[in-house]
Amino acid sequence: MAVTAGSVAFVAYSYDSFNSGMGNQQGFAFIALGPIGANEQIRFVDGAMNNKGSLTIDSQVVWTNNTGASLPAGTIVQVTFDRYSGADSSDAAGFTTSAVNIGSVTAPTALWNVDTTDNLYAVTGLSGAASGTTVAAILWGDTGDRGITAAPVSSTPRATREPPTTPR
Amino acid sequence: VINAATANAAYANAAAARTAYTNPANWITDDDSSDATGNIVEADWPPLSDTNSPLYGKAALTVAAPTFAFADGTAW
Repeated sequence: MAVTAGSVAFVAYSYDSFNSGMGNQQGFAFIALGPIGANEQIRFVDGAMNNKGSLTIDSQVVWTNNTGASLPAGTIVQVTFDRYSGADSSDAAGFTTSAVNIGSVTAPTALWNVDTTDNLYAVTGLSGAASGTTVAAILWGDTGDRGITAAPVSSTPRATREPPTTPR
Repeated sequence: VINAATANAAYANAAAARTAYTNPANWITDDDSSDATGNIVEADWPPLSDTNSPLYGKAALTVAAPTFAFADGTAW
């Protein structure tokens, strides 16, 4: 089944930034709310979206269901970012590698570092500022549903881990 | 991360699941006493492998496809 608005929902995230004592990691997990067909793709964007759905991209990854089969409803996909580029939580640093438990995920196009001024979007548009259809979103930086193409898929949950000590 | 009650619930369809998963009241922080074990020190990350996470050890949650039946109960 093709990915569309509401095909997935986020069930976890971390925007923990560099903290040498806690094993710095960021990432997110989402659940398939319906079958996701083989070779379907979703782009995940660390950034912002304007009223017309145009994305401001800090970083992004594209997840692909490359399992060769449809993922059943209920499947949890976990994407983690494990390697921090900097020595502190400054805005100049971020995460450079990504990993996933099911399917494949591209490396971040830039330093991945979601914080409280950003939002996290899952969209069907696979590149560029055009978002296509918003599949799901988590909103911190701007809790208005600006540009999001379907209202029921967004949420403003609390953080899994503490915000960065130096939020941008 | 979503809380244990939400993670362990069985939803009859995608709409019901989406409503639960996108409700901020159903999310917890890593130091929330209502998480899987009540441990206030350990982080719930990564959520599938951290023993303190409500999603620990899970590969899927229960989201059933809609089922249909005739009004007299006969299967579709």
